[in-house]
Amino acid sequence: MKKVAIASFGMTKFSKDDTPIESVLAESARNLLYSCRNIDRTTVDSVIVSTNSNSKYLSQILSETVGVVPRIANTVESMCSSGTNAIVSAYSYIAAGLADVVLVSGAERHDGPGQVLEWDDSRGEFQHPIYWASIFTRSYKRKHSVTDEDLAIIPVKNHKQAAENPNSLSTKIYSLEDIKASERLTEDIRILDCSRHCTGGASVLLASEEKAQQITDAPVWITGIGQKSISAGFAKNPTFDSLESARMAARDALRMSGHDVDKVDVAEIHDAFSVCEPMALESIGLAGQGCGTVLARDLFETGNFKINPRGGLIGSGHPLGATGIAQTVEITQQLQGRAGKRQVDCSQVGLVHNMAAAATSSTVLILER
Amino acid sequence: MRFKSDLQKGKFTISACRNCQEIVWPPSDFCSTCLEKTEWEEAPREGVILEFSSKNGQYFCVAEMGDSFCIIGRITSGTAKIGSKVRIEACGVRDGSSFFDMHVLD
Repeated sequence: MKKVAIASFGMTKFSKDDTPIESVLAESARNLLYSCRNIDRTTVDSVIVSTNSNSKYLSQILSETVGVVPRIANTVESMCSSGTNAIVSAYSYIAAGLADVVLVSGAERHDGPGQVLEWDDSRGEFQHPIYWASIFTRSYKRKHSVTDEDLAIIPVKNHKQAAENPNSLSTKIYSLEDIKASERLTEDIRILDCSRHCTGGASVLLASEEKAQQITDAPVWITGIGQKSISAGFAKNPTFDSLESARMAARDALRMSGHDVDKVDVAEIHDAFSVCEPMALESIGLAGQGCGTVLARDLFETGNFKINPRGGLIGSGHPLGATGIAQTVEITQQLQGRAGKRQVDCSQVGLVHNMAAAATSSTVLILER
Repeated sequence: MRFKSDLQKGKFTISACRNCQEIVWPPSDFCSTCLEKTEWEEAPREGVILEFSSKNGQYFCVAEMGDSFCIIGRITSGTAKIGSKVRIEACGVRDGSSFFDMHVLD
């Protein structure tokens, strides 16, 4: 297989704007192309769009808008993990020799349709994600004797880190007391435990080794990919206190990269709700069982941005189709030493964890300088 | 699909594979294991609470029905506890979504 690099990236600011999805997509791709004048747009073989939007023909529309005439153009939808799934598709085209340069652009609007899986009859009338998150939270707290206060450190940490991210939906900082006093949506979920849907876009340009060297002096290599779909229906999760799909995807991604998990210097974790961060940290192996909130508190108290440096989904917002790509952009910046006040020192190996539909599926990427 | 049309009438009907002797859930016209066509039968009405939470004092739970499949239902009477037996008292379609109202038996 050919090596595959991230050669460039572009972002939009996350907002609650009513911008058309086509414009959100175009803005992040334009920012990518505009910031890197070494890109010859005639070499872009493929354009892949990641979104839950119902708008049609978006990859061709994006291509025309940014002056690209690709051989391959299509759209990937996989709910909240659409972004990393699109990156995996792009990786596969290049690794297999079907393409040399692929533009991957993800976008969502704040009112996008992606948060409910109507097909899942096992959820009954409890379709909104706060219900599966409540079940996960209750189960995790019971299994590990974790309290609501323990979990509150996750939004405190991630909002603090989001304040250093110029693309965040909000830069407001919250205290533990703010989190604990925030509106209870259910017995186990407060409003500040939740990521917020928003309008936003993110793009990466993937390239073969030869092309990447023509575009950038600082390529970031995708060295590990792991994906696992347990099911589509929430109630088929084997447990509600750990993320089995994340565990299996991380195992495969690390195996492909040849690294143990302790080599990971910085990670983006899919914190759709507070409880998801410790569950993912433990399932991936970045924290011991039941110790995810202890790690998060230690990182917060020492000012270490190792986990979710851009503020995660809770801090920076969750435009579904863009989220996995925005996570990948953050780790790329970290490995290039370009993350500004969010920089984690000496980052050589980074991990992206992106999941969908109550953790019924996960994608994990390993990135390296 | 018969599951939806029966549910709209308040009947909980489920797909089952005669070949595999298994309930197929979520409901489907064929078995996800052997791919043979399924048949429709009355679903088990009793199950066990695996997990629960509440919203505005209204409890909801994940219940494993008949040692076979899991659904989320509303607890309309009784006290939710892990491992408690529940029985579906009513089901149907409400505001476009299926619903299962459960009574705690013990």
